[in-house]
Order: sequence, then C-alpha cells, then structure tokens
Amino acid sequence: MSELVDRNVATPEASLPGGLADVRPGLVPETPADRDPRRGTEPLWRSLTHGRGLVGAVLVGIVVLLGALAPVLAPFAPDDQLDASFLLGPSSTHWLGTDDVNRDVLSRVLFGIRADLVIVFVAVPVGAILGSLIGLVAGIRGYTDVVAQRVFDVILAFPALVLAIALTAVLGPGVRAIVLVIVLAEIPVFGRLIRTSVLEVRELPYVEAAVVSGASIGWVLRKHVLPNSIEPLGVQLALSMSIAVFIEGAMSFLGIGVVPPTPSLGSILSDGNRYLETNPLFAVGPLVVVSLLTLGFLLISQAFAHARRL
Amino acid sequence: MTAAPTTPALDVTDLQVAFSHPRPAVRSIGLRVNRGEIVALVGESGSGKSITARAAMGLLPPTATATGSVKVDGVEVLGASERELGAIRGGRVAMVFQEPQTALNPVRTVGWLIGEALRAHGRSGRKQLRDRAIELLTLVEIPEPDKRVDYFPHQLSGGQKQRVVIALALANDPVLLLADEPTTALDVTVQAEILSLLRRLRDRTNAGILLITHNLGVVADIADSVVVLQLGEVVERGEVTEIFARPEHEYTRHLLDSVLRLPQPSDVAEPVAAVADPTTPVLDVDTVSVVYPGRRGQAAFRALDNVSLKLAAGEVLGVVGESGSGKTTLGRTIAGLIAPATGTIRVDGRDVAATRGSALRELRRRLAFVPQDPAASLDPRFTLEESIAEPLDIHRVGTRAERRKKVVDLLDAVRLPASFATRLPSELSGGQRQRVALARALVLEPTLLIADEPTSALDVSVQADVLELFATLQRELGFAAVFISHDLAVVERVSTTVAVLRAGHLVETGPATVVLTHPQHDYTRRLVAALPVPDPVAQRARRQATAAL
Repeated sequence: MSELVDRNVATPEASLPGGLADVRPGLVPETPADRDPRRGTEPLWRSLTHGRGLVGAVLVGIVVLLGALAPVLAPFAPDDQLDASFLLGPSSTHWLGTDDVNRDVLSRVLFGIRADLVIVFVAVPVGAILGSLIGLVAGIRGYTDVVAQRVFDVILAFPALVLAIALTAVLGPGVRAIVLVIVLAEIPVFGRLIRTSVLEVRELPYVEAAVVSGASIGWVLRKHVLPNSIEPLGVQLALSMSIAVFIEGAMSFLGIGVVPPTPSLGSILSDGNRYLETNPLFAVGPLVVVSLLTLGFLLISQAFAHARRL
Repeated sequence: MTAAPTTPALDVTDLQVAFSHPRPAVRSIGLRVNRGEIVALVGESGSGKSITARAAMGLLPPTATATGSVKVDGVEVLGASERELGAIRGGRVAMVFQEPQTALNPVRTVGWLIGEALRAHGRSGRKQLRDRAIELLTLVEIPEPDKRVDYFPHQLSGGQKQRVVIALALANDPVLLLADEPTTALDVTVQAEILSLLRRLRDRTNAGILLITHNLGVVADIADSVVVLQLGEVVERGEVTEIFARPEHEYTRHLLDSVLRLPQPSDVAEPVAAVADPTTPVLDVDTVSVVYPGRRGQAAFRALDNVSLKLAAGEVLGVVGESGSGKTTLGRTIAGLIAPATGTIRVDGRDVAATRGSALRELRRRLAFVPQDPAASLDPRFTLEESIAEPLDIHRVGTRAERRKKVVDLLDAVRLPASFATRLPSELSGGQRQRVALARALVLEPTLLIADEPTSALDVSVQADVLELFATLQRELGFAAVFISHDLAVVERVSTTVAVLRAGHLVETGPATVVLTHPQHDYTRRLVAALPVPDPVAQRARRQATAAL
C-alpha cells in the first residue's frame, strides 16, 4: 500500500514555499529551520554519548579499567599460593574467596581480564583488516571473488568451536590458538561485508559518473567505498568483539584455550565450575565479567547500527 | 456520465491533514467525484494529492491527524473503525497502483490473486471465483482470459500486468476507483492503451475515478474535470476543457506552461535532406553490438544490435525508445562503462575500448556523465564543493584556490548561490541536485556529455527549468551531448538530432524536428501518436484519429 507515497515526496521541494521556488532562477530558499540537515551524518561515536550506546561504553569502560589497573587493584598476585586458603568462601580479605590451589579469585579475575582484552583487541582487528583486504580484492576481480567466496563458505560451515578444537589439535592450546581461531572466524565475516559494499557502491550513479570522468579503481575505493563502509564496519567490529569474548571463554572453559597458571576469564570459570557448592563466587565472578563485557560490546554495536539504521 | 447521480462516489469536504511538521500536509481540500466521472487530481510533489487518496481509503498513517469529512458512497470514512474500513476498502473503493511489478505477488497465479480479493469480501466457491476472475479479465480486455487466469505475473507483459491490477481493483464492483499515477511506470504506447481502457471501464461500470497524476497530457486525454492542488490547498477546479483553455490561477498557468509539447507537423517544413556526415565526429559509434551473457542455460540477450551513429562537435543527440530498447545500454557503452561485444566506439577519433592507462585517463577527461536519479547522483557524504571538484581532484587540476573559484563559477552557471558550496546533498531538492550533477559534469569542460534521463524523476516545472538550463549551457559551452530519455517532448526540447531505438535496433535517425514531426518509420509514428497532447480538444481529436487507423 506504500505505493500511495509520491516518488519524490521526500525531497525538500515539498517544503519549499510555493513549490515554485525551484523554478525561479536565482531565487533559492533557505533550508527550513525545522529540519536538521546533518542528521544521519554525525560521527558514529556520538551514539556512545546517550542511550544504550552510553550503557555499553560504560560497561566496556569499567571492565577495561579493571583490567588495566589490575596490578593496583588486585589484593594479591594472581598466581600467589596463599597459606591455609583452600577454597575459602567470600570474606573481607578474599572478596570472591579462594580457589582449589589456594589463590585469590578476585586477583585472578582482574588479571584474567587482561588476557581477554588483549585477545579481543588484537585478534578481532587483525581478522577485520585481513577480511576487509580480501573483500576489497574479491569485490574488484571476478575470479578472486569465486575463490574467496568458496573459502569463506568452508570456514563459515565450521562452527567456531569445532574449528577451535581442530586447530588446537594441530597447534596445541594457548593464546596463539585462540587468536588464530578468532582471526579465522572473523575473516569471512568482514570479507563478505566489504565485498558486498564494494559491489554495491561501484554501481552507484555518482560513482559511475566519477569513473566516466577518469577515476581509477583506487580512487573509487578510497573516496567512495571505504567511507561508505566505515559505519557497517564499526557495527560489525563491536559485535565481533562480543563474540570473541565468548570464544575465548568457551575455549578456555573446554581446556583448549589459555593454559594454567595464566589466568583468563574462561579458564577461571572452567575451574570454578567444579566447586559451585563450596565457593560459588569462584565461577560466578568471572561469569559476571564475561557477561558484562559481551553485553557492553553488544550494546555498542546496536547503538551504532541504530544510528545508521542498518 | 449519467445525469444527476444520487450519491457522489466520493465527497470530500474541508479535509485537513497534519503531521508533526508545522505546515499541514493538507489544509482544507474539498472535492467530489460523481459516479461515472473521471476527476483528475493534479499537483506537484508535496501538494497533498496522495494524502487525499489515502484518506479516502482510510489509510492515513497513525501519525496523521485528520479533520473534516470524507464520504465514500455516502459512508463516512474518517474515524471509521478498522472493521468498517475493511468492508469499504476493496469493496466500495479500490485502488489501482502505480507499479504493476510490485503490486502483484509473483508466486501466485492471476486467478488466485483475483480470488483473494473476492474472498476478502465474502465470496467463495472454486468455480464461482474462477468464473468471476475470467469475467474480470474479459472486462479489462486481456486476450484469452480463460488461459491467462492460470498465468503467473511474470508471464505477462507490463501492460497486461497493469490490466490485472485494474481487474483486481474492479473485483467487488467498487463505486470509486483511486488511480495513483496508473500509467507513470508504463511506456507511452502502453500508457495510451491503458488510458483508453480506463475510459471504457468508466462507461461500463459507472464507477467514479479519481485519477492522481502529474502528467497533464494524461489529464487532457481522459479526465472530465480537474482539481489543481498546491501545497495542500485547492487552487483551481473546473471542467477539463475550461482549465486547459482558460486557466485562472497563476499556478495552473505555470503548470501548463511547463508542459513540453512536440511541435505540430504543420509548424515544420517538409523534411530536408539528411544532415551530411560530419567529417571529424566527436563521437563515432560504429556497428556496435552489446550482448549480456545468458545465465544458467538461458540464451544471451542482445541489448544492442549493430548500432551506428555519428555526432559532430556541439551537437546534441537525443536517444529515445521504450523500456528495453537499449537506450541506457547505449549511453553506458558510449561512456565506457560497458564493453561492446563487436564494433567500436571512438571519442575524438580514439577507440575507447582499446585505450589503456594514462591515455584512457586523458580520454576520459573529455567525457562526463549525468545520472538519472537525483537521490543517488551525488555522494551523500560530499559537500557540493567536494562533489563538483571531484573530477578536478581526480586529474589533479589546479591549486586549491583555483578549484574553489571554478566551483563557485559553476554553481553560478547552474544558478545556485555560492553559499551552497558547503551544503550536503540532503539539504537540496531533486532539481537542485540534478543541477549540481550537471555542474560536476561540466567542471572539466568535456567535449562529450552523456546524460541518462537526467530529468525524468523531477516534477514538470522543475524539469522544464533544468532542461532550459541544460540547453543554455550547451549553447554557451558548445559541448556535444548524448541525451537519453523516454520522453519525446524532452528530447525535442534539447536535441539537434534524434536516434530512435527499438529492441536494440536503431530504427530511425535524423534532425530532431524532422524525425519527431514527420516520422518515417512505423514505430516512431506510433510513439509520436501515443504521446498525449496537453490539450483536451486536440488530444480527443487525435485519439479518435488513432482509433480509426
């Protein structure tokens, strides 16, 4: 039924006085004051200053601060084995109690955040950059596109965890394996995103006009395709980070991620899981942090998407 | 037209519709459509004509507040409950949509679609529904209705699809048909058929028809009376012949003046000898064919077949044809966006397809392209200055100050103030955007400009102004241009020569005035005849003459 809407009813002509203004040369009306012409063009970060974007930014900010200030905040060293502290419940000295090898859980969680953040902030951008480059090339050259698409299909056909198990079988567990899994899992996601963007933008009339006037493919990519892709990239980046936190957690939980004694949220959660009856906070502590981090990235991603109406 | 109908099909009194915007979308519209009468609602974008039609369907968006009265066949629609409206919509009042392509569900047969409309109003029985569907298809003059009833929409042509859309609207014998730009998406020859069908249906069903259109030729062709809207108000109304012969309101006169007409054959001397071949043409299209490869075993599609054309410096070649004729493909091939399968395209004597690297860049400096859709002709992120200066940046021409100067000059040339340089496209109207696209195309002083329907998405008065500007700049700067349009009158306005395309073949070419007033080829003759003239008396005479053929 939307056919009732006029084809160009959205153009400001509708709001020009007399509707004739466009006809009289030299007599150009000012834009009506009740319209904000810059709407939809403000930078993405603005959406972090209010609403769910703000909540997400605060959540991620808190967790990042906790991780960054771990050496100051943590009451004990993360791998310090204390005397007579086997699986204690929460107390004023050990807010989250102690674990099965007499270490302070709170200190381990704080240091564990660092491992997670390093993984997230390294692996996801690396995957994004590699994926974007492959996507750009695939969008320009037909035959590379066919190859890239099929490779992406293969990677996407594996659930990330199956991929993780297969890779650790070869590489052995550790941070390296986690980073590699996340990079591999993100390449097709960003590759597809950028490829679609290239194909779409190249066909746009204003891009064709530039090509006819002599613009090279490099010019089109730099001036039109990339600026057009920044926003969906931002959305995907935040979303991928929340998934990366989850992947680290899941891999360490399964024992194929960060190797003890190095603390990470997933590995602490995995250990604590076994002692839910003696010290529930052993597991709940890292779980809450993982949840807050994932939720924070997710909210940011939603706020970006909302700002762009993607 | 029956005498003194008891209840009007549509009676709108003092309708006001407001949104959150300070200016009401509709302020005080009153109009009446009697049964068996065709009333044309005329106005430009934003005049409130579509909102009025929506009100009659009870389809105003929830954000709208409406006051006044809208009566369909004596029943008040404003403020009616959804249940009451359900009975009115598709029953007493029905809608003919603009775009038959999207109005029909592609996975259902024609018979099912019509049956759906009937079932919604309580009819049932397989046999009865099918019989009624065939009856309706017969009514809208679709050949072999008992076979076509089992067709899917994609098996029908555009004109036949629009006939099915009309059949759907007629399914429950409405007293009022709302036709919102029913022929805008169709080719002229198909438009002519649909218009005469609508006229016959009016006589057969005695329904009132409210025709919403921006095309005054269509109005002159079939309307009985006209209501002219401007900014949500009725500025003039009357009998169609009266309005066209003696328009009283300034705006109506302005609208009528903006309409482009083809010169009459009597205005132009008999055809002279064809123009001599230019010796050094700016553009030389030599037996060019373009083939789109078939997908999944389907045959390849020949979009252009051995087309040859020459264009001298400073001339404007108008390319006309209906949809699928290959005119856009021709423009894109000349612009170098599509490679020809066979044949060569030479610009300034150089083969575009065989040129590479810096030579190609140099060649492209002399080319420019003006796209069709004002919504997409400019990068929404670029200010107007950045957009206009982009070709200069690509070729690294001039210093910053020189570029800025050039931008200001061009803004002035397309009659926009220099203060617009920092604006974004979203702050501009469609007409202003197309002028900026023109400025960008001219910034490198091209020898050949390719414009693909640059004005077809604009309102008539805006279109007239942009065309005027184009013609003036072309005279002053002397560039050659390929001007593509489906609208013969537009092409006549700006072109020196015309090429008529049909299904990839060049059917006729020659000086614009000669081809469009004394067409030699049958197809060109039909195109010219199908174009409705914005003059009710002349148009009705033409229609009868065409019918007698």
